[in-house]
Amino acid sequence: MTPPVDPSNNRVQVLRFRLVWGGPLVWVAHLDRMRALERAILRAGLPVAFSQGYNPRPQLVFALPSGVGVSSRAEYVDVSLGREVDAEQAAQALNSSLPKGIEVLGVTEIPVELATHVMSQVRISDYVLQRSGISSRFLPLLEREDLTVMKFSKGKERPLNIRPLILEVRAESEDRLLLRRLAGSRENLRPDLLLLALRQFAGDTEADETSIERRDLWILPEKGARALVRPIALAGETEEIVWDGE
Amino acid sequence: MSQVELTAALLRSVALPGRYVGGELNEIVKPDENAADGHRLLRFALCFPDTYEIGMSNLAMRILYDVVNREEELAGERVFAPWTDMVEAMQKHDLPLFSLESKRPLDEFDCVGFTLSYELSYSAVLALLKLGRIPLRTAQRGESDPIVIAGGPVTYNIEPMAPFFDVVQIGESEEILPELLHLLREHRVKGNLSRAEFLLQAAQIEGCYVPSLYDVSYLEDGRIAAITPLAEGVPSQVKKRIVADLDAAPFPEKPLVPNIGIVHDRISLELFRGCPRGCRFCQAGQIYRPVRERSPEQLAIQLKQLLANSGYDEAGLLSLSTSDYSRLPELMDTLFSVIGEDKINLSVPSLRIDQFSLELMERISRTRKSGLTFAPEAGSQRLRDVINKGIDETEILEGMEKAFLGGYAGAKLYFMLGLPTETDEDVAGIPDLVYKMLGIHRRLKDEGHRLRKPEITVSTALFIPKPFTPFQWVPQATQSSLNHKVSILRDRLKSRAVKYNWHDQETSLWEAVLTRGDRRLADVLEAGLDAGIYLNSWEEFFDLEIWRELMERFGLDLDFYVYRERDRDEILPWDVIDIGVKKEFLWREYEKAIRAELTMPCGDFCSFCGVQHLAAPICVQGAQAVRASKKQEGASL
Ligand code: SF4
Repeated sequence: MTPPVDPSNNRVQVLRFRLVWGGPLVWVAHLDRMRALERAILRAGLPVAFSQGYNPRPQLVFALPSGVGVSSRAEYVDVSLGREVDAEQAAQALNSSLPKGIEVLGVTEIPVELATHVMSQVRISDYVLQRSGISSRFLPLLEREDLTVMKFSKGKERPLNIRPLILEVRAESEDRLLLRRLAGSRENLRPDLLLLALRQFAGDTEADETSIERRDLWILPEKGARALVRPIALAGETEEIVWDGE
Repeated sequence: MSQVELTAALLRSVALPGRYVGGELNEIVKPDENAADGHRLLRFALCFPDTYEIGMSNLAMRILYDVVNREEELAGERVFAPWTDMVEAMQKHDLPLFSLESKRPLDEFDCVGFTLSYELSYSAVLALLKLGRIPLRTAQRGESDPIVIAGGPVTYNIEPMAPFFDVVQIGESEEILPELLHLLREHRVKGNLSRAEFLLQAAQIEGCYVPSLYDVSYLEDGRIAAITPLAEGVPSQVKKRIVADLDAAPFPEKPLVPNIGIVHDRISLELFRGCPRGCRFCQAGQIYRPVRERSPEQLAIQLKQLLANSGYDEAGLLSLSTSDYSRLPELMDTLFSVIGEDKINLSVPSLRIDQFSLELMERISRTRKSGLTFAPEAGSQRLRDVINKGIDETEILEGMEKAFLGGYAGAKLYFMLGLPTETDEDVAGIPDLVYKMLGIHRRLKDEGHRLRKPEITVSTALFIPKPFTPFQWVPQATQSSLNHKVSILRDRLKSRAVKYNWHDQETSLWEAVLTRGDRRLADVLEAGLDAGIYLNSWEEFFDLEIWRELMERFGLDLDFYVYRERDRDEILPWDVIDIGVKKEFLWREYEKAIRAELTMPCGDFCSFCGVQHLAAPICVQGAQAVRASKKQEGASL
């Protein structure tokens, strides 16, 4: 049986990769990250599906790109392919073509109809913040109801209270914090705003020294589901997050 | 070794941290180990005096990176000019300039080499040396300081920067650089040579110019009295060195793939060096003589390897004039067969507009029509003959007609203003040509062809006389005459179908000073550094007034360099360099220019420019001529 082909973009299979994102590419913006991954995919010889039009591009969708200066153990990308391949072999091929600091942690196949859906499924992401003395600086901020900082995006500045977006913070040690926050296309808290808040409300002039790593990303697998899951769970990652929102 | 630490705070404080972190695909980081001979590697900093995005787009940088790192005893690392926000951050954290590969401070390299493509980057060279904590002048450097060298097209007259460079490469570095660095290793690594001994020996390598071993004396009026070698064995003229066989030359088959977008973010295929045309305003056409081509077979191999090793989806052909590649149809077929069904964009610049090119463009861009460009350079036929631009009006108009019929709305036309002998009538030739094109469009429409609405863009640039061209003796057109010419064009190009762009760049006046400048300008450049001048090729950082003031302070006059007519026998600052092409040939060409006489391109014809002696086996025409003249000599004996 021939697999269903989506005629608008000739995709026949969609592979979801979970990547470690580290090294020098932590310091580049989303467009450049995208391009780096495109090139790795082409070097790996994966039969990626191209968009139509004047400037055909390989079709890949990041679940939630982490920003400049943020590393990640939960970078997810859905890659549309024009020909069916073995997922494990594809992951191996990609792994050996990736630039320094990037690595495939897992792969899974997702339904072709969901090729571009993942962004709208993201609800929560977890971060690790590290720096000497970060815990005693950050925890007091949570007592406040208002943590309004100026968010600069698309050439405009607007105030944003980030406090409601922070769900949970746990100090693992004096130098290491776990932070869970709302994420996704509707309500998003960029991690650099946390550094801004540290500077603004804790008077922490060295806030920028903090290293930020995304630990996990949680999606609502389908409408009405009552728990959030990881897009790809690795061995031993069994927990879910109870969810009663949309 | 010490290592500059790029902290998160530092990187978060600059706009594009990706410029400074290195770690790109195919980067080469050699470990701090000894070579087979038991001595450590020679550390070479390959510097580009502009931003990462511009420097990484420079093919010479990529070739040299590969050439150096191929050698077991050498380690080459890259250094680019940090943007001003990074300079500030580095000053705040007290960090020296460092290399991308191992983050080593610049002053811990054995050799610091600059690739120079344009004169306006001189100020950045000095600023980088300062940021790298290296004494500016060769006279100030001691045994433990790095050797500072330069190469690239502007080094054919490097005199304004002469006191800052220990050694300057004249010609193509593939051959010179490794030889020079191996010699340097005797001084820096093995300790067999002192600095002075090294410099003296370097001066004897073909293609190496050691400015400190020459004395330049001046006449009262500022012209040069004499250029004298200061030691025995130092040649009175430094001969340029070239690669004879491009197919055999090394090329980087594993290209660095930048992590951030750069200016030319694609694979480059260098078709050939040199140009057979001999346009009289063009410096590249003289200094890169003779023409040497890569074969289609070799280029196909390169394309295949480069695509596989980079993941790029775009490749561009590189040369001074693609249409002059002798086997172009064959090359294109070969390259298309490498690309096959893959989604690879091929860009083919500097084509003459003829049937072949139009069909080629059709083939390249099945989906979109990219713009056409024409470079008639001058408006009237007379003036085109003066500059030896071997193209006549019929050719241009026929090309345009084909383009209209092929579905193009028009073209971008490039001209120069201020060419020698140029009159108002010549300038008026530009709008005449444009209106003839529009006339053709009208006629074709009347004949019932379906055409797009016509759209012609005219761009004019200012002509700057360059060393080693037939116009090296002429004064540059004055600002007021140029303004007058621009106003003629603005008045007469007012049609809705025409767009006129012109650049009134003050930068070109400073470029004009430097390009034909002498050693006395070094003081001015150094004072510019003290005045905080840095990325001078960026218009936002350029201020002609400061340069005028500084020149005055040192008793120098802008007019002397820019607006003065030199006579035939004047000793020119760059006479110390021998590019193969003889001064007598250039003068002959200058006289022919004044008479508006054409010189045929090399290939079917040889005008004995002098290069035949430099490279007899390469320059086929020239070689035949040399053989013929030898035979004659033999016969007459
Ligand atoms: S020697 Fe003759 S063929 Fe060779 S570059 Fe000079 S003019 Fe051209």
